[in-house]
Amino acid sequence: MSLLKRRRDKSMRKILLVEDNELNRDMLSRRLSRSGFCVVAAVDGPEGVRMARDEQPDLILMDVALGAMDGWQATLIIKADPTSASKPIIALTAHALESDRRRSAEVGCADFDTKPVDYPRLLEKIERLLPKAVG
Amino acid sequence: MSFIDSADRIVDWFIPARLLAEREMRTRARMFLISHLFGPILGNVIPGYLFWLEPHPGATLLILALSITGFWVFPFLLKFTGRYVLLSYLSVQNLLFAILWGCYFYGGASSPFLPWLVTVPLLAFFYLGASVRNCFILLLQICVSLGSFSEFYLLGGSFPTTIPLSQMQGIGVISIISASIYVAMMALFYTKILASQTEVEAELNKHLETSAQLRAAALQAERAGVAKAAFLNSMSHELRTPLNAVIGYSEMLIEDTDPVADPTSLEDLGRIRAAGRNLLSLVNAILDLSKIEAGKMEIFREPVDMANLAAQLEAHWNRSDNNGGNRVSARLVGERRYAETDPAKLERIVNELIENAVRCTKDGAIEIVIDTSRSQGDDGEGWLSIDVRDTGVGIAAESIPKLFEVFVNREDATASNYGSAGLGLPLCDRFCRLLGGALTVVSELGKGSTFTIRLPQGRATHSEAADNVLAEAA
Repeated sequence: MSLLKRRRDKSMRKILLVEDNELNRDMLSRRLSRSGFCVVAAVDGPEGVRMARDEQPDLILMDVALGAMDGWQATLIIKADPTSASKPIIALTAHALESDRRRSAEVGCADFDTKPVDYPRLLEKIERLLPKAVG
Repeated sequence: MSFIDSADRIVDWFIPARLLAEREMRTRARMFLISHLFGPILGNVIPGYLFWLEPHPGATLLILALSITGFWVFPFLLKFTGRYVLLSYLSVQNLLFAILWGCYFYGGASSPFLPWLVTVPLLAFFYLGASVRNCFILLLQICVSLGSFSEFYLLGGSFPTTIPLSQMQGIGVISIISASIYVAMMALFYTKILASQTEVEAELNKHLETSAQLRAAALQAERAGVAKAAFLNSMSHELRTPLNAVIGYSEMLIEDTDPVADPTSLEDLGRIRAAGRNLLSLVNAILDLSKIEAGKMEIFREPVDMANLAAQLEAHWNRSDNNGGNRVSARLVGERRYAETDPAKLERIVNELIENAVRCTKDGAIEIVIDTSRSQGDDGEGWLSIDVRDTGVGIAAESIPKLFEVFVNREDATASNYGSAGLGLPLCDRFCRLLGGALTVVSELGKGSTFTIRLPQGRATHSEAADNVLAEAA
């Protein structure tokens, strides 16, 4: 537990969570906040694309099942925009399918994980991708 | 109809097998035989009546009677020669002869036997069909016969009066009646044949309908299969979403709860989380099983680093709060570090087996041994085998065959005390088979179990792995 909370004293790193399900959004953003991240959340693909540009997060968690514009499309748009292209994106898929893993690599995601998230594992992935020295 | 049916049996005795085999020819031959077997009975009424009128007849009446009775020879000729077409023409010719002979000697152009002429084309078409060739030959026969009839009349100057016309009014009525009966009989038989053909057609239509229904049913089943897969897919998504929340929030609460101040809540929350995870793995297993069943499970083979897998498994399960207090160790045996297989499925299988081991073992040891050195064949292909050993309760010998069956309740108390294995083991079994291998188990009650995954490991080497990466990049 101390491992999960020890980030609070460090400089706040910003994570953009793109997730259309309210409960999952609330739960994950609260857990990430407690782990010491500044969390901003988007409820759908277009909002996620806009916030990736406007909020300049350090990392993006992208749910892929998002309705009209899915996470893959949103990722492609974010990666095509020079102002947000450098942000590492972790795709969150429902199934641990090899096809999902390949797809996430194809569209430019840095990593992918499955939902429901194994939170410690997700934290490890986030830590690995975040720029080591911030501020 | 039963009379006609039994008539059919008698009639068929005369018909050569070659004709019986073909439906249309069989029908014609039956008409031919009905006509030849029953016709002379009706026909001989006339010579019989004439004999009554003229008790001392000459050769004239004898020839007429012989000609009519001669029809009875035709069925036997057919049976023993099989020359159906020739016999049909001869029969028509004989009929023409009998009618015109009768007419010539008994009444001439006003003869009461003349109406019999209408039966000639009728019978000819029944026997042989109305093909152009038959029409032509028949016309020729009629012309030649009528020509000879006229020739005799012209040569003689008049018709002979064997019996005066006035005496033949009775025979006229009888002649018309027997001709009508004869035509009616043939028509009746023809109708019966038509009806039986309609029956055959109805039967055929019924079969066609049945096959159409079967096709529709097969299509429906296929659609139902697709619908079932779609249903399971969307249901599992719908189930997963609330489960995300159940597991996620219970984990949050566990993080928040002070284990010293509120141990009961911590325990309860742990149960909620455990139940949520169980349900989740069940949902995942159902989805995967239905995919495998539908043949839709895709396989992606690539070189997988076995040393890395061992390290990851060891780290993950020792850190996990879900390991039942067991010490988990994993190691690689064998020279080869890489095996070519589907990494996601392999991980899934091994994790399921470890989870199963954890369920059956409390505060014991779980050992994972990955062996890449076995049965190296000449072709360079070998087998990858992974043992998952536990020191748990073990499995009774009689339960082992049921382990990999879907939805079988294990009856032994030991297993149910440690929670149902659910669909995990059946799924591992299907995955192993999908990857071209097998899953086996050796177990002893009270001592523990060893599950062994055996998979073909391909030819993957590290350098090949690098090549593959390069190839993908290119």
